[in-house]
Amino acid sequence: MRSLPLKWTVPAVLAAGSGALILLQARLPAGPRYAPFAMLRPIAELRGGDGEAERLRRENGELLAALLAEQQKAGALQEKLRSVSEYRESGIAGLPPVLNAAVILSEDASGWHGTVLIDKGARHGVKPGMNVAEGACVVGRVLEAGDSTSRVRLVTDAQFRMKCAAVQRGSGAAPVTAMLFGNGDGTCRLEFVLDREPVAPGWIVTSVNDPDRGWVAGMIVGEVVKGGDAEGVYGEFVVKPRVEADRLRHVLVLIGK
Amino acid sequence: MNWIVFLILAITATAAQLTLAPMFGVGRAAPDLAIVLFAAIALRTGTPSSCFAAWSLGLARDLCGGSGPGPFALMFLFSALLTGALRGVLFPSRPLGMGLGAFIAAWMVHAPYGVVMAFRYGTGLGWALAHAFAIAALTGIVGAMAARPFARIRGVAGWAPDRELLA
Repeated sequence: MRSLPLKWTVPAVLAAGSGALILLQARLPAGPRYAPFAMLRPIAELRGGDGEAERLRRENGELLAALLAEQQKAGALQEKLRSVSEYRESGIAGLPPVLNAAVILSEDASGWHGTVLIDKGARHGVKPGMNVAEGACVVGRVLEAGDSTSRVRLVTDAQFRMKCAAVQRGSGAAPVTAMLFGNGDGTCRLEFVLDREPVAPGWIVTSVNDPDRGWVAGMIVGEVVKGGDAEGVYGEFVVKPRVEADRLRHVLVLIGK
Repeated sequence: MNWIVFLILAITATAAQLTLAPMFGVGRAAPDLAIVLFAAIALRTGTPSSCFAAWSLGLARDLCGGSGPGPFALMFLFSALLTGALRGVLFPSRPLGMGLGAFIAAWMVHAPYGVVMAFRYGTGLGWALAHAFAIAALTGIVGAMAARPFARIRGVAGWAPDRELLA
């Protein structure tokens, strides 16, 4: 029997292998794939430079302490609420504990996605789907967790989605709930906002209480910079995120419940 | 092809892509250094070698980015096949030939990926194609600049000289 020429069998086998990888993406373990990135952890220390890392670490420690104090207050409130009614499900009960992490790489190699690599992984309790913040600002969500490093999908990534609310600064107007989508170009967009809603540039976009995905209400995503002139039922709104990936040095992983 | 030299070049290209390439970008587009490398290989070696080299560079890209394993490995592979078809037409030791080869290879990788992103995630087809073109153009420029250095290491890397490409 005549054997197939190597010229075509190699590309065919590699193409089949790529197809299998794409189809099995969700089932491939992230741990071994992220292991080499553990070697990059010292870079996280270097990136701060000139005491910057120390200052940020101190600042993060203060933020963490403030957050813990708030959590204690929330816990007390929770107890009060529990004693008077079953209102505890309304959201205040769920302030999640946080984990301080340094950003190792703030660039995604593909050129199409917005992801950053952080120096905490499964051994520190990080799991895919956990939310990531910088202070009170939303950064994104953990995409994959290796043993000691993880990749975080930023809010600007085209595959990012979350429930959010648009609120007018300094006004008592009711918030407008919407879905936030990453645009892939460094901005986000609001969808499913009815055209008749008064959302306009300058409105602040915040997270809404979403116990299923671990979000607490009131975390800042960004600001509406453009929109409201679409033709149709829903308006088109562009949101500029408060957090810029290339300036990220330290983040907080919301460990969740 | 000398696979040890390739391994060194592949690690260098992947590391440089994560650290240096964004510094030479325009807007959010940055030159794709891995494509420059596999374009040089595809224009100088046979199909099996260039396909395997491109596929492994694509897999490394997948593992260092948010795309997940697979997509870039597949796109790099197809691009290497198409770029390899230009062997003997474009001469990689000349800046113009290498630049054009890198531009075509980058366009073959990034334009389909941009189209998929636009239709699947609603990023906007115009922006996606413009972004892909910007990446391809920057990659072409870097490819033209890399023509001479690659020509110098051709012997060590085990790549064919231009005169053999005509044969």
